[in-house]
Amino acid sequence: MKRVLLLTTALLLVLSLSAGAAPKYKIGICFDVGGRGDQSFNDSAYNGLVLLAKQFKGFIKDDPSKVSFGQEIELKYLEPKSGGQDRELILRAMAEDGYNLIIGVGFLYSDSLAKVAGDFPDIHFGIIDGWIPDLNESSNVTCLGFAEHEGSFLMGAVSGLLAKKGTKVGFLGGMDIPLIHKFQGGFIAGAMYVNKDLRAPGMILGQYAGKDPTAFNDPKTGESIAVNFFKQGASIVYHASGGTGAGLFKAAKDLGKLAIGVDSDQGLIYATSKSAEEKKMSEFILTSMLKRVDNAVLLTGEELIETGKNLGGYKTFSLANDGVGYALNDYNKKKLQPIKAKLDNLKKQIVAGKITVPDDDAKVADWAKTAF
Amino acid sequence: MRKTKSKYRVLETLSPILGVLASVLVLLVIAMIIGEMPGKTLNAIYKFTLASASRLSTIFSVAIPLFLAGLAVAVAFQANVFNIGVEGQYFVGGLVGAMAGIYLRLPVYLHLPVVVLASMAGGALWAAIPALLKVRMGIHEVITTIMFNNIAAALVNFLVNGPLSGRGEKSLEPQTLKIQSTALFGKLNHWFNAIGLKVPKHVYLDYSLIVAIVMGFLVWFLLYRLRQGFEIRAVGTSLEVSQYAGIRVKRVQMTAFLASGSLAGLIGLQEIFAIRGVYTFEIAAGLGFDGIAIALIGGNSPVGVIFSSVLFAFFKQAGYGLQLYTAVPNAIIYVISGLMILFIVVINEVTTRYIRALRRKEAA
Repeated sequence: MKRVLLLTTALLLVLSLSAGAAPKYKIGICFDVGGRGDQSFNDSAYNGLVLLAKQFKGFIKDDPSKVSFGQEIELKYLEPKSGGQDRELILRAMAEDGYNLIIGVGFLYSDSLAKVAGDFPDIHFGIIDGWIPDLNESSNVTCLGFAEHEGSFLMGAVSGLLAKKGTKVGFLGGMDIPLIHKFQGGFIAGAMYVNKDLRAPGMILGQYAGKDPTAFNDPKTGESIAVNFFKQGASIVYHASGGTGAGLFKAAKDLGKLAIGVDSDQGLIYATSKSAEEKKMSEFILTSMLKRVDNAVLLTGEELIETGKNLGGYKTFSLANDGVGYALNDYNKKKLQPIKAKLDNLKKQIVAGKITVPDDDAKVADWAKTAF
Repeated sequence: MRKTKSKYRVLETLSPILGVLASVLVLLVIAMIIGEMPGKTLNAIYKFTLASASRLSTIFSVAIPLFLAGLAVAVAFQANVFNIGVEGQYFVGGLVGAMAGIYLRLPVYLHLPVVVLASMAGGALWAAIPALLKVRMGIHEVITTIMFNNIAAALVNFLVNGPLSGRGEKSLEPQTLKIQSTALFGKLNHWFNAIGLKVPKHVYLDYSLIVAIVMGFLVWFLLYRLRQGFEIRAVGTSLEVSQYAGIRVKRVQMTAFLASGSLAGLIGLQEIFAIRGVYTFEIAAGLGFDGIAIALIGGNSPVGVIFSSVLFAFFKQAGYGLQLYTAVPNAIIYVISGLMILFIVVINEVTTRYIRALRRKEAA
């Protein structure tokens, strides 16, 4: 009995404590179907919340990992169960529940976010990778885009600098859409820029896994394309294909070639994996093009907390603001050491505008006429 | 005599309620294990389902496609046809309907019925092949319809990305061209507001609600007022007896299969014509399978399906309430929905046996 009493008082105490201080800001993100645990896009967005919590003494509400550094900022994520009206529904639910900033993760939120934003002019919305037309600074929506071509340029440079003489390099795309061609354009330009041999036709291979969203999660096709690349004489292959890239890593391990990952630090994820096979694969992952969705979430939240409001319109996260970059970790430090200075120099030149990177592979030919 | 009959009625209607209560109880226990007190859990559900006119009307909005899905499956079940292919049928039906909405130029009063009929035709068309295979060659429909679901997904995917693609420069989602304004479904919210029911303007109570009501009535009329409906139910009750009684079983099953397919074609109406205004590859998946559970719980009758689809919509919303206000993950609702079916079926079986035993006693 005594124990029960003690427990109840303790519980009440905790409840009253948490009810005591109302958070200054409430920031929410809406994942896409699948949500947390994808080791990529959505997890990176979640990590943005963790960074916000750390920096501004906040907590992630109802989070199984119980991230909490204080009570000043309330952070929360939701996840739709299917398409239909569910995306709109959870955005609206957060808006009605008084969140000050709501970020939709992924382009599939575009339509629903535009609708909900129209109904809640006092709340700011962000959308990662999305596109909503006709926004300006006073809009309550910000499209958070990434300069993936700039990051990919560095990946091209890595391949160009480390490819053995006479070997080719390759690009494995996921779904054949303009966004992925942006990666490809940057990659080709980077490889050509640093390596004269690769400027000859046929030296940079490229192929897409498919034309629909399943092409982002098709490791079998990824593997067969990668094997094909390696057999054609490629020594390094970069992928921008989501889950399909797992096939590339397997092919690289099996054939003793090199691979470059995308979005998150895939080399690190594989190196710290529990699976022995994945650990082995990590030895063949040179680096990864980082698409810092976490930084986009952090910076957008930071803007709200520090200035009290968000500017609408279009925001691009690029090399200049560490929105994109390349992965350097304990495992690949040695491999990248010989070229690190060159990479950082290229980065500086891009940031300074001395190198402009083409944002589509179709634009590379024109770009090459004046670039070197 | 009358009195005892009504006593059975009470028992019969009580069993699904018991099933729901039992599953809610399990939900509360799971939530407690996760660390949420039952009061908070129930409050989270209440806040997201019944607390406001907006929430309440959203349940009915979510129930519309679920109702059509349940109805489609139920019609087939009544004739002993297991149409697992509702999923694929609404993908194709929706696309055919969307095509009619995009490429035909008609005045509103024609365009709206035409897209509805086109969706039905598309669904029926996709059901026709497994139906023919079943009736003509005796190939079991469960196998063919499951395969046809995959074929439908691949076909739709190919068409939306290829010949029918209308993706804009900046949009990344594979989609068709925009549906013409004459074919878009408006909302009925002002009607409800006019009769004093508060429905906020963002809730999708659109023309697809009318379609659902009309279809529900038509199916009820077919099943319980027409000879064909009687034959369908006879075939469903006993194939052999029906055959013996001179009912052309194959023809009846064909009819039910096609009716099921055409109803399935309507499931996507709300999303395509009221919510999005385009057809996309990302149209909500899985409604066909929800329909199986809804038909099962609704006892394959149109009235029962009304209740079970609203119940499903309620639980779907409850899941979001839990996600928003508690630490209970969304996925728990899948578990609860599954348990609910199990409970209802088991409790139903137990009460039926109990009633049978009571009747026997009475007769003795």
